[in-house]
Amino acid sequence: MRAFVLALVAAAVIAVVWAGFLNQVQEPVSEAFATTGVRL
Amino acid sequence: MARMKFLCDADRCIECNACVTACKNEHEVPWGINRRRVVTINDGKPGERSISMACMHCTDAPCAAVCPVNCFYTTADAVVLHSKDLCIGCGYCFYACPFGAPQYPKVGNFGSRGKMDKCTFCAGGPEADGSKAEYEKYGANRLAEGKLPLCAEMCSTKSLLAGDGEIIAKIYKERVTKRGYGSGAWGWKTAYRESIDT
Amino acid sequence: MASLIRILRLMLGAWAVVLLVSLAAPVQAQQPSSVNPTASSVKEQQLLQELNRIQGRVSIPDARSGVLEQPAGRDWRNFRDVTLRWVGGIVILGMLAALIIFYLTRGMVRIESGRSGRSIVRFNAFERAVHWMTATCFIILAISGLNITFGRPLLIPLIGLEAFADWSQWAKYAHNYLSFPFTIGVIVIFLMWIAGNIPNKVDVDWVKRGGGLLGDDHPPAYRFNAGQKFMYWVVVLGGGAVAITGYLLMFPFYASGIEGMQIASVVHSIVAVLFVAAMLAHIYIGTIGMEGAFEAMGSGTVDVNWAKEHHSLWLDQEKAREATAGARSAAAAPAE
Repeated sequence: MRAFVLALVAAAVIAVVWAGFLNQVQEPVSEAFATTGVRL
Repeated sequence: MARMKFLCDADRCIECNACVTACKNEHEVPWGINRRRVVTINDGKPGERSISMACMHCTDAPCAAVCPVNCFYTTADAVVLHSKDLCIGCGYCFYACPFGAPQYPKVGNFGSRGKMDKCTFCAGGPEADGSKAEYEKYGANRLAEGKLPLCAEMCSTKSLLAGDGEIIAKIYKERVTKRGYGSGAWGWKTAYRESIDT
Repeated sequence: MASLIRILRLMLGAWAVVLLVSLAAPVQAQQPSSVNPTASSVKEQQLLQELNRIQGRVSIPDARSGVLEQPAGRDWRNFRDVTLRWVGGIVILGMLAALIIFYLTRGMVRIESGRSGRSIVRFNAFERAVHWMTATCFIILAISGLNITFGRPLLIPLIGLEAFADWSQWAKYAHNYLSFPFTIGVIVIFLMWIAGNIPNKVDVDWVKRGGGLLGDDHPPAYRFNAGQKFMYWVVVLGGGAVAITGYLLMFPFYASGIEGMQIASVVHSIVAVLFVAAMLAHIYIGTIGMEGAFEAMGSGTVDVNWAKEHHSLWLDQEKAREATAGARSAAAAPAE
């Protein structure tokens, strides 16, 4: 039982860390495709 | 009842991008989202053609068919619209659309690409016609005011035509007959399963 | 006088010739009824057949908007709406039906000699934790994934558009976030159990003798029998495939154009439905299919008689290891 609970916690923690990382990678298209002439 | 269609006369388009600018301005489309775009084929070579492309509002729209949450609907004028409230930003409509009409506000897909945005034929969305909520989400609703899409209205050479399919087919047919040649109605075979024969 | 008439006749004749010639010449420009204008130019249909897509130059920084038309979307639509639903439906419902029939005819595989009351350790805590992390993630990934394919026809009539859209939004978040713990689990499983899952002659024999499933034989096996090795490789290879294609889909257009995305989607969904079917069989045999099986992953220990009947070679190895460890500790110096 302990192993199962530990597994759930591990899954949740890894998922949260992953979500945090993805937030850094994700960017709005206005930034992604901005050229030097654009003022955002 | 009118069946609304777009037609871009590839032999008249001069790549001025007035249609793009008109659309962007009228609906306050954010930077990075391109509801309408002008593509130039064979740029600089003989047979160079420019075509203005946005959503074609297809018969049997593939975007509507593949949407996992069924957020699309077709109006009585055959305009294909969708609900941004239901959209989950999965991106399937972009994979299915032959013309690349769906646009998304975010680059990655992890949580969401954000709500899909596309050309509405200046017909707004599910919210009340002309309401503030409708404008913020979908842009202006010109059709409800009895006007035609602004891109076609602003076209400097009248290459982009928008309106009832039969009327614009007739206009195009006249042009082709007068000229003696025509590169065909772009996208009509794919979108409406018909071609304009002269 | 005669010469004047002759000149006049000549002039008239000349004019007549000119008139005749001009009349005979083909009519141009004004009425091109003999020329078919559309046929004489490059048609869209022709271009679509020659190329797999039509693209040109755009002034927009996003290069994807240069694609004017991509007909492959039509094939992808057909796959997503028709083919995948048939394949997924047949594979998953077929497996369910097969398992039900198997259970009703064969019944639960019992421990023939009954429980001995003695048990040995089969999987340690770390192994069990990794298994359950991967398994739990798989369940949620499977449900959220199947929702994308089957949710619209099955659930919208039941709960309506708004509720379904909300549920699907959260299902999509869950699918994307839990993909990473699932991937880690698959990688750890691959490294952790690779030693025990290399196929050998014992597996060939095990399969030939029905593997204890068909008939009442008890062919010997090491720690993992051939059926389990098959499952292992399904998880590692299938899990690897869905992970790779899944990340391609999750970071769209980082590594490919629209065709690459469509192919990734096809591979991801086909492997996924086959994976689900395989896991249904795995869950069956690990729970109601076999007496004494679940505790291996539940508590980590199994009954010795169960081990004797299903993994005799592994039991011998474990006993031998215990014996040498016991002998060594008896002869060893007092604890350091």
